[in-house]
Amino acid sequence: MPRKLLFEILIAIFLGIFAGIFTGLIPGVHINLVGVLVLSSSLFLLNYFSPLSLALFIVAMSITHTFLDSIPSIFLGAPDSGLELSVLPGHKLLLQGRGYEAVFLTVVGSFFAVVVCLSLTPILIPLIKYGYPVIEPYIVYILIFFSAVLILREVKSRFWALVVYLLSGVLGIVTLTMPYLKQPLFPMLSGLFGTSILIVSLMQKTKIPEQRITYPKLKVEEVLSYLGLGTFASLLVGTMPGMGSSQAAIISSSVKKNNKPENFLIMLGSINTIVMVVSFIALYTIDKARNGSVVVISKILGEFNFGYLVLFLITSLFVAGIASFLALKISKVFCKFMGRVNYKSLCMGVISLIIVLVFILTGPLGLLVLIVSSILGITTSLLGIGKNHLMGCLLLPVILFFLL
Amino acid sequence: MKESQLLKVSLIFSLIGILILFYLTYTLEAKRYDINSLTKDNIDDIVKVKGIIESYGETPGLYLIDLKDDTGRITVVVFKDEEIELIEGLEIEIIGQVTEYQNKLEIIAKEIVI
Repeated sequence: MPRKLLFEILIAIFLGIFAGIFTGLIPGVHINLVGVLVLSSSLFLLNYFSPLSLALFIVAMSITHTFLDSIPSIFLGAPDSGLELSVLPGHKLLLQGRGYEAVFLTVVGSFFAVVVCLSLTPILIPLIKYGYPVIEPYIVYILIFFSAVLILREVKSRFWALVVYLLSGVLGIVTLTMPYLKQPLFPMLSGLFGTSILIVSLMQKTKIPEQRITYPKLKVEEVLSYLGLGTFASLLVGTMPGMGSSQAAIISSSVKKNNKPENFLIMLGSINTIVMVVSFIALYTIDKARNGSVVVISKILGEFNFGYLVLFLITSLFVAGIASFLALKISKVFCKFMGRVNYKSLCMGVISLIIVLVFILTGPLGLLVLIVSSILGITTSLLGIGKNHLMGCLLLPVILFFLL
Repeated sequence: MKESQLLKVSLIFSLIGILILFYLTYTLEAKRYDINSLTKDNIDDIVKVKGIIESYGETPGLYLIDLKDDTGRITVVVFKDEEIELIEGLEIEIIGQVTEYQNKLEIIAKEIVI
């Protein structure tokens, strides 16, 4: 590889990491948005960078994003898609002064996810190539099965769990099909899993204790079992159209009963990263782009060969190391910040920030979706049932899409 | 307000809110445009255009359709959520978001009516 190209690639990777820090930390700024911006400006950028460098920029940004998006989810209660379920266990640890530990656990999950994916690549390539056509016709029934398991496992009230699942499902269908709404997921997920939790915290006059830098005591066999579960669920849905981390999270959370927040966070941290890495492998093996970042990469590169896959996987590992370090450093800053601010003011500030971002990105209709989603999220909290039933907002539309 | 009352109120408002959104989704329609009337001011807008497939191409993740009507031509990008059968000369209606790519306007399709 010529030295100039190598230098250019390194620059692109570091710029990608930098962009991933922003997309990961700011609620509502998704990697797909930056990917589309890169694609729109690619004519200009290709004057200065090779298509490969641009693609590696997106890889670095996407991987960094999956490491850092747990920070706003845990500290601010503003989750990204795929991390909706992390808010509750993350918040639980935050209320015990263990916010840093919560981020640490998701970083452990994300980092080992990359290692697991890389070591399993020789198996994953034939598995996706031959397994995908076999599983594809049954995926909808798999989702129905896991949705049923989720509802039946609700201890408090199965009836209300079903009602919440269906209501959020209808909300998902109307929101995702609304003609004038540009980014429907952002207001919906922010309302269901973000502002509603913050409003309930305000209602309950929650106080955030001083955050300590603590580390979890992990049992290797438990970590491996949750990583394995995350990998299995991510592989199952990560290559399917219209599905991703959120569906994988539901499947894996419904398999195990009484998930300890520590293990659950490792699993959720791993899922987002595995889905991203698996999508690179899927592009090579079955020639299908399954998320916004990979669509942009396929559009920039055209043909995606084995050499690109190897380079992407090596880049993912390299970026994973740097992103782990950055995520832990940044979460330490958040810990200091949390100790100094008034939690009530912080909640009000984050709610205001979400409202402003929703209005800017999605307009008045998005604001209406945010309000309705928040009320439904609060209703679920008042019912005392699991917030995971609200994932009907993504599961029911996908199930109906495949069935009808 | 007691928690049980609050629960009833929030449940009722959730239902009313979803019904309002349901009503809006099925009554709001994207504005219809002639291809030539689309300008850079429409970037990010959701629009509806009707035209004939002049030609089309395929990449791993998407279809690229050259759509023409009596006033002009535009490229429509369709992400491959499912296989669709495209035929040159077929009249289709596209609802999608206007974007700019390589200094030209494009539509990212949200819905295709064949």
